[in-house]
Amino acid sequence: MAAPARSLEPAPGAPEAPTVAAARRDPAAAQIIALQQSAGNRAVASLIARAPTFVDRIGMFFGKKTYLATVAGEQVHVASEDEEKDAARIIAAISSTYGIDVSSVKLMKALKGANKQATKAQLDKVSKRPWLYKELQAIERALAHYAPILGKARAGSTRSVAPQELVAVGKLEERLGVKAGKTVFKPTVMGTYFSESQTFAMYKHGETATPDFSDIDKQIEGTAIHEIAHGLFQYAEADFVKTFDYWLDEDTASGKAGAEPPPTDYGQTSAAEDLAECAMLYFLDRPRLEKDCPLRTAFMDKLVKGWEPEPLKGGWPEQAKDPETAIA
Amino acid sequence: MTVVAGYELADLLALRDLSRDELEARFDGVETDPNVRYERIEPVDRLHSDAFPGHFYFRGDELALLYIPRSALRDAGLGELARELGEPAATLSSRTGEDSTLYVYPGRGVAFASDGEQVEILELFPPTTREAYEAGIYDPPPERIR
Repeated sequence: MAAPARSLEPAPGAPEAPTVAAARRDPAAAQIIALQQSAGNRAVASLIARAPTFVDRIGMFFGKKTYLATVAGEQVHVASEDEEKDAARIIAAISSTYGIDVSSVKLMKALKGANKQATKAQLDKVSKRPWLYKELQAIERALAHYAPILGKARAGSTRSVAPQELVAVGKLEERLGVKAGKTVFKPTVMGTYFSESQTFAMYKHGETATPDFSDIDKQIEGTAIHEIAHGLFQYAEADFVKTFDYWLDEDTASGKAGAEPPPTDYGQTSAAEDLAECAMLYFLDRPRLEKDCPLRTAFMDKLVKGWEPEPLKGGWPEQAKDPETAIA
Repeated sequence: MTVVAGYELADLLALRDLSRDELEARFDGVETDPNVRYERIEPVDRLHSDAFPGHFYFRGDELALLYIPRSALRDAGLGELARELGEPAATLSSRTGEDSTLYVYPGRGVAFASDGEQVEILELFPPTTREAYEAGIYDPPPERIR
């Protein structure tokens, strides 16, 4: 007999729990929480983190290392029930802590919306791709670097003045986009940020490509940090261009000899790519960024420090002397 | 009549014929950045005046290229410009965005980049061939991977 489901509404006047806020945003999270509240964590674990089926177990017996689980509406390759449970935890945490939905469906809509010249056949070919468990782990690590300006924490930062520039992430097979005037699939793209939908994408190619780091886990985290930077650091791009002699404007290098160059060849594409590459190295390989680009490292230090509001000048106001309002 | 950066396209094209002295006489407060590079063109001097929104690149006394940046192109109508210029001789990947294209009209000495919605940058240069544009001016951006 199933226990009656408890209400998700907080008691009147009580602060809303983060999990409840997450549930409001994400129906999948709501289902998980409702199940946890009605059936208990142990029972839920067995429901949301679907144990490998008989077929899965047979496959693994014959050497398959992973099976495909459906977690909060996303497909994830996992190697064990523990990984399956942790994938569910990561997806719920990304939503509740950072205000970002893990939703490949939302990403598909974003990609299709961004391709206005694509044929119907091309749009029909856009397809979701199951996550690798390690990709979800890498995205969680990448988001942690930006934690002070994401989710509820953002309200306590200097970025509270603007809405969060990132609301969803998903995984697709390949990027559909324009290349030299033609809409084509781009199989060598690892990630994209779509500013219109405030969504970022991870693609199949990113599962194995290692252009920056030989460690694939670090590379996936780096790709995610780069894409997230396109959204969350957009506000700093104008200042970035003004600060560095290397750029004449956001699209064009100044061509001045002696200007500190971007940290990677890819960063030479545009100021936005330069800034995103700086973010990737700043969070993952600071010694390299410091050695090659000391001015950019200083810029990043200032940028990240700038998230913290200035302390009140002159300290806190003196405690009230009025005996009726003074605190003992 | 196509208006770009507050100028008719024909008037902008006519600016290519100015010598350095004529340019300095025409616009107030021209400043020079010597020995710089624009894509594959180097070394060149970049001349700029606050009275005009573009940058003039000179090789000696000869104009190599006039570059109009994105910030000056908000009034540029993509449809009008494309209609006036006709079919491009080449469409190339553009540094201005992952889904942007550089439309090149070498015979007219014009190239512009667009993401399909707006004109992002405009280049005006002495008429040339497609091969000469690709070899001497265009610097292909790295393949987009992220």
